[in-house]
Amino acid sequence: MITFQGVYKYYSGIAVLQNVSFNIEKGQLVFITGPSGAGKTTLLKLIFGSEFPDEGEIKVANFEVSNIKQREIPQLRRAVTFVFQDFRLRQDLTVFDNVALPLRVIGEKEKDIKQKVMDALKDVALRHKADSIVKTLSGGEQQKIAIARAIITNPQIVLADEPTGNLDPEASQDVIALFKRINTKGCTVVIATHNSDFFRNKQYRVLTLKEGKIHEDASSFSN
Amino acid sequence: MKMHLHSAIKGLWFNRWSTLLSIISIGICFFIFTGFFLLLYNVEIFTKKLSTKAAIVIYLKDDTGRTEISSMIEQLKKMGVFSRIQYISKDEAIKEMKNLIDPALIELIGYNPLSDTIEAFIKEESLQNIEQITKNIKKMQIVDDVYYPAKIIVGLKTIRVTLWNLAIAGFCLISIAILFIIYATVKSFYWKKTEEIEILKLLGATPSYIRFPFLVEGGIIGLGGTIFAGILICLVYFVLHSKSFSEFLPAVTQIEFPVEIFGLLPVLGMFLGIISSFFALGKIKYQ
Repeated sequence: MITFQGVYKYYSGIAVLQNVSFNIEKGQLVFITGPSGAGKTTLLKLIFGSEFPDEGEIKVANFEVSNIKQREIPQLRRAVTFVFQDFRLRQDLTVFDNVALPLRVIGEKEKDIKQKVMDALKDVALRHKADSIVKTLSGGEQQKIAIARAIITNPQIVLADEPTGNLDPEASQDVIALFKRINTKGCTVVIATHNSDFFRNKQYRVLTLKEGKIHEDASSFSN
Repeated sequence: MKMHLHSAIKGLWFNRWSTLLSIISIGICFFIFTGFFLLLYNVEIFTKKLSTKAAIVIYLKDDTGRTEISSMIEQLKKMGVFSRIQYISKDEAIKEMKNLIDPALIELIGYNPLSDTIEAFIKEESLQNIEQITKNIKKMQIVDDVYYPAKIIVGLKTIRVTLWNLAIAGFCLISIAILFIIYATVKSFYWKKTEEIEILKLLGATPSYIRFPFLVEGGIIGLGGTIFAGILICLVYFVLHSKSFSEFLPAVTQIEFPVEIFGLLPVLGMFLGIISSFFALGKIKYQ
């Protein structure tokens, strides 16, 4: 589903990722961890096609991301969705309209949108907030809406960059639980986080980055 | 489509003051544009009217017989370049002259100095070949001399060409001004929506999806500008045709006003709006 082969990425001549190679299978839940500046965000951006490698090959869900054309990127982003630390929601719109946005982008009919949005909001337990304006909601609720928006089109892969970075511990646990639930439905989930509590003592694959290199690729349970 | 329209109208309302300012500026541009057009249109009509009144005067040799004159008139008709051919005998000509000059003066000469003439009114579409036509007529046996109002025709030609050149330059400048106003307006709307657009890109929106509301906004601004210009034109028209004004300057009422322009202006406005919006957005990049 996701393949990195000898990937290098430089910013102003400084290597942010060096010779990164790994493979993520369909339906896996993978945590990417490491200290700040290890290259976690860059790695996710490379998967999402918002950055491109300077060397090496990246394949994501049938897309050759390392050589992807600009016109193919919208298609890639329909197969791979992203949940950000800062949510990236339209603060002026209602919860419903935010979650409906990806469906409108792909031209779904309005009558189908309503049902799908309500189902997605039910999944994140925020159905009752459908008509609320996003900016009136708490950080935890906003992140759940961002997750609902990410899953509404049934993507093959969901990426999350520090999704709990702005949340309190309780809301963080809820959000991680949500991702795990999404993964059980067959969706590949890749979460970048520096919080090891989410995968400690559990059987998840953990890629540890250090100074732009894969320091460790293991199941956390085996550590 | 409905959603894009809604988004465009919402965007325009959100930026209503800059939208209004753009519409007024574009309206004034279109008003000047229409002014140029009307000037050109009326000059065309005027020159056409004037040029069809211009006739080639063919002076015939003395003692030309009736049959030869009739056969010449037939020959001229066959050329197909004249709208009207009129024979004036030297006797008729002197009669007319006596109406203009004191008959006693003419009597002093003692004989009729005038020639038999043929006045041939040239068709508008043949006007540009007048020199060649004149040359051909001159070659005819019974023709003594040929006169045509060369100065008037050349003068009209020069006025037309100059006005056309001025109008083309004016159209271009005004079109550029309109394009630039819409370009700048839509570009500012685009910058204001940067965050919104970034979110759409993250959600897999295609460039055309992102562009569409802005194209609609540009089209609406262009259309609004033409509507404003239309209102100005109507106001000016009614002022010019008002009783007090037409009494003071009656020639103004002679100005021809093609109503088709009210159909063309909105189309042109929308077209320019969409084109300039397209360029204002540039290439949508995902990196």
